[in-house]
Amino acid sequence: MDKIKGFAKKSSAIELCNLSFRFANESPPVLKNINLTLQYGEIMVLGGLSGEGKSTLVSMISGILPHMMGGIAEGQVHLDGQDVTNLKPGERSRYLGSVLQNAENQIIHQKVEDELAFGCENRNFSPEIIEEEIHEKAGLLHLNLSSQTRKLSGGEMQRVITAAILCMKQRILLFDEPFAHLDFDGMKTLLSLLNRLKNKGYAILIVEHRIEEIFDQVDRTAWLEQGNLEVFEEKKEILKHLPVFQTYRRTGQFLNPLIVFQNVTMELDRHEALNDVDLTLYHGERLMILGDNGSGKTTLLKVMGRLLKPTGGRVCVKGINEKEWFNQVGMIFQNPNYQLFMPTVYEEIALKGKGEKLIREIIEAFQLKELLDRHPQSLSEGQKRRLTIAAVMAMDPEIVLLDEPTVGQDGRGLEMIAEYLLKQNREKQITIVTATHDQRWAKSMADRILWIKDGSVHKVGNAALGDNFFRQTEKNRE
Amino acid sequence: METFHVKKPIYPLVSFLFSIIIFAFGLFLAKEIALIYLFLGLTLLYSAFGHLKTLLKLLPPFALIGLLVGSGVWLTSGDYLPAIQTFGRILLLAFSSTPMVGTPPINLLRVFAQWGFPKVLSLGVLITLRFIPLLIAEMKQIVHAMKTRGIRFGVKERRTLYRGFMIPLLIRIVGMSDTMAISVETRGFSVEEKKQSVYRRIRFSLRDFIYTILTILLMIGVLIYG
Repeated sequence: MDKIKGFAKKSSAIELCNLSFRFANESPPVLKNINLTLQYGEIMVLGGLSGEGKSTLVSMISGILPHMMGGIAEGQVHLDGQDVTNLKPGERSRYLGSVLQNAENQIIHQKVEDELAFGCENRNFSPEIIEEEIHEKAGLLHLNLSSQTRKLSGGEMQRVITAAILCMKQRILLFDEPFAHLDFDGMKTLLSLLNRLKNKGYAILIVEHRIEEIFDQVDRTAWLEQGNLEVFEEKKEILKHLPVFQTYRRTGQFLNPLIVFQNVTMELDRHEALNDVDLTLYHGERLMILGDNGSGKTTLLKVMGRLLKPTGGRVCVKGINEKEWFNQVGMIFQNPNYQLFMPTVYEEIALKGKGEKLIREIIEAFQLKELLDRHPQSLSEGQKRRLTIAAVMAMDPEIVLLDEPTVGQDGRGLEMIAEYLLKQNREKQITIVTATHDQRWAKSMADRILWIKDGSVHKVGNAALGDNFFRQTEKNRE
Repeated sequence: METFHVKKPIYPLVSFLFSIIIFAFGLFLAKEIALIYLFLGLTLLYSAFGHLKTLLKLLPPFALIGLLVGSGVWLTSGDYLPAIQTFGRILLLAFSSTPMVGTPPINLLRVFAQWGFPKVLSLGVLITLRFIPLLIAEMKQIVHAMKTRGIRFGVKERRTLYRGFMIPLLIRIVGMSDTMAISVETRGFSVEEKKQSVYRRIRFSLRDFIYTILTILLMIGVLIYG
């Protein structure tokens, strides 16, 4: 630590002493006697299965729990050597910058520039420093300061929130799934920025599922399971918790067109989100849509799923009854919260489920048995996503459209989903279309790749094109 | 909301104050022909100060509501005069709110900070202004989500419609307000903390002074000649 120039702090950045948490008196503990120390000049990644308490731990460190959202906490939180256990999140923000999940709901202002300046103004920085900070961070994270926040894609919003926190210049940074919506380029950019900050003496704690992709860049690792934290002496020890994700590649031709796009154009808020798209989706194929943040992947999925009507061109559908469209075409949103509304997990799956046999099979396949009586909104983000996919699959659809299905999903959950979808694809020839930034999913689950750029089809090819896409974006960055 | 914003907004406190004054003044004239003169005068004033487009965007929905409510008044009272007056009052809302709606909320917040207004006021404005467009977007998303779960809008499916629309909407409202409050707090905004800088200061210009004088003169003119 002494080697870090201009940063002679001796105290730890984060120190958690015997930290425990439960939501109510009668409820089981979510965190049990957690002890953790993070030094300045270190990056630590925290992994764990969905719903095991990672976000709860982040909320405890930032003070959201118990100060804003209630609950019963024991133990102490120290930041920069100070006991902050009784401080509210606003007071802790002097030491700590927190980038939380669901960036879209954290954005307050209409312009990117104002969003980035907000935290700096609250920290009472002079206008000159604010100007310097927001220009620097916007440049590093490839943001246009005059953009309207409302029109940004999920990944761009994630970058805005990250930049807004970095502008506040706290030396302890906490990230809850910061790479979830980022494209490959965005992920590498952020990682290299975090490394630069680490070298300047920042302490960085990252909660992440895509551990393999960031493993080389972190110094220490920890794993949270059933409320117990294990901090590894050797960082590679975390790898034993990560399942090896299978590759399910195949060759073959698909001949029966299902959906045909002819010169499809989609204008959203005076911005051309899709531009002259020609595409045929075939029965039984697995199509992977790849592209940078804001390239039009979600819009394309929504047009395909008939949630948006194109402003130009034609979309022809073959072999699906229009009246039955939404019973035969299942779509999984980026944010699972919209699609869950029944009082229990079981009722959610059974709502449009085709028969008790299929419902039971799905409950088994998605390992939801233990959660059947829980309210869907009480689940973790990863569990919610698994449930939305289960509920849609219970409709026995012919086409499944998945928008970023891997967000918030641990390796095991991901494997579970992939296995079930592939089985349905093999046995029932369902058609699977995915938009994702996740290399693991993209490499394993595609028969055909559709690479889109600025709303237009850039390239179409077999699964090998996916490898090219990720290589190319990395090369461009370099 | 950005669609209503003008390139050169009026000083936020002036537009805020005159929105209230013009509304009160218009209500006072609601039964007079002078209200039409006020509308004409404001249209000219807004044209001169770059707010005409905002007014023209606001007028159609207010006119529609005015027509509906006015028709209701006509039907219940049997007299067309109260109906016209009601229509006028609703149009007045569009006219009086134009300068305020044309001002980006960030300008208002920065003026609040410059004048040392209580932060709780800024927080209220901040959350409310962000909440409305977010809520509209959320409602669209929920309708889309319902479709993807095979739920239709129909009389027969009232119960699932309630569960499919109202429950997610309520949950999202609670969730959004929680997330927003957390976002504001973790970014150092605290109602107890008085120190706060302003990135871009909003200044009262000669243009704002002229606008103020002309608005006052317009109201006096309408009172005298209307």
